[in-house]
Amino acid sequence: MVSPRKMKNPEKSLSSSIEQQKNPEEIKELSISGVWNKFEKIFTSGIQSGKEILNILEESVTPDEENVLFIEARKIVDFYNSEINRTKDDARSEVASILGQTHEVIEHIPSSRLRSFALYNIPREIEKLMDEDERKKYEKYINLEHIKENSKEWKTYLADKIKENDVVLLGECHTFEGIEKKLFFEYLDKAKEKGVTDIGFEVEERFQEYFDRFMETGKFSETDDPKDYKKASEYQRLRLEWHRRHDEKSLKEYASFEVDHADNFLFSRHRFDEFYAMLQKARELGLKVHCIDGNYSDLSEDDFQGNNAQWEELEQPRLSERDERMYKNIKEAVADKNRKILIILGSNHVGRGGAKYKNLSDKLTEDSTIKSFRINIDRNLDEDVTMQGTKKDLNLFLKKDIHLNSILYNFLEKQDIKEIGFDLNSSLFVPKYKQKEIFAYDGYIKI
Amino acid sequence: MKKEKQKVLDALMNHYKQRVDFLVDKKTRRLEKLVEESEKLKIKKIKEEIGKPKKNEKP
Repeated sequence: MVSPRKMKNPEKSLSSSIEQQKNPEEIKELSISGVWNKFEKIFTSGIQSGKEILNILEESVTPDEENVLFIEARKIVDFYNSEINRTKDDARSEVASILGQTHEVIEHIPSSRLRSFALYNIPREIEKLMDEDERKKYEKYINLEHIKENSKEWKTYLADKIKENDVVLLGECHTFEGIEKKLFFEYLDKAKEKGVTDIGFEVEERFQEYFDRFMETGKFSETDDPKDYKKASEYQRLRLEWHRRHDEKSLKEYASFEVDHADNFLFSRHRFDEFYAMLQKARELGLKVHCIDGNYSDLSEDDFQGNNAQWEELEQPRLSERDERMYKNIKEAVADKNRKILIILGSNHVGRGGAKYKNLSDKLTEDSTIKSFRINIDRNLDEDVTMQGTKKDLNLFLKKDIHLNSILYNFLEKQDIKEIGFDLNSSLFVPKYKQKEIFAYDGYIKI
Repeated sequence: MKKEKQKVLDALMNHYKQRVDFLVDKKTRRLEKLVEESEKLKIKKIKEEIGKPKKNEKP
């Protein structure tokens, strides 16, 4: 039995709750030093980690060949600590940005913002996350009349760009729903009609032989039963359910499907099920399919940890090699001037200046022998999407006032403008506003 | 608005914590492999020494 002295006084409890609401901590201005202290602890402990192991190694080494181990250990520590420090710098600027300590006066849109202007705001680029008030500041510079006069229905717009170029890159946001890929699939007939001979995917080039075999025989590998391929949409549905719900039931359903089809190429390499319908269609249309990406997956699943965004950032040299390979594969594909290639891949490869190194788009821009055009496919990301490569808790960003959608998308949505395409250039802004930066993309499609 | 910002900051902190944990995990795993190698070398040496005839010992 609870002692009366220990029982909570309901009145007191209520008043303390009110007091808590009025707690100055709650309404105190968020200061960068206050917030940053908590962040800094994480990085400091990260940098200090491994010291004990290093000590063990140092004690155990003798002046002979075992020194090599200690030198190797020091290299490992230096490498990861520099990565942690780089991450720390990113975090510092993101915190500052969230606290409104940058971008207060808009005389021109900073390049990072311009990039997000026509591109989704993904969580790992938090500097680009904007609430409704902040978005409005940018929206007032958009020249709606110019858009109305110069835009076309998106399929017509894309057809024109295919006609004028050798290479058209379509940027997507990797989500489990694969909305952009479904659109790409629907467009294939028209693409063929407009002169596209080749299509490309962000798939490692080591899988080219399997794709070629499929185009020739209808099977990825000898042991496959093509009847199983028809289950691709069911597999996608199960994956999506699991990533959305993260509960035991959905995991069991997803896992048992994988167990049942463990020997099947399509399902044993689970990223390919979303390409199946497109490959089937491309086969019917006689289009050549290219796996344009560089090989990167010699890292184990363990290293990958289901966190694509994080992984891509960590492996910068590897990522730049990927873009280099993409560029070479595309150049090879259109070496014959009678060929035209339409490619769908992640927006970061499609937009100029999308990385700290020269990405695919930068390389293609510099190459005057190839006529290339990059278009960002923009769509609603605020509702009901599950981004590939982000951890579940980041779905917080999909709530209320914080949008993943680009500024342009939200603006056009308010005007009820859908399914259009137009060029991105300085005319997009009202004349009194002088835009100094160039857009990462040449064109924009809103679906 | 401040509450929203705090939420975003908390999520951001969690996000960075995960990133640092990921790096620390990779760093630790690679260092542990070196410790293992060092242990193996030690054992190898001890085995070699055991295998050697002791000084002044007749073969």
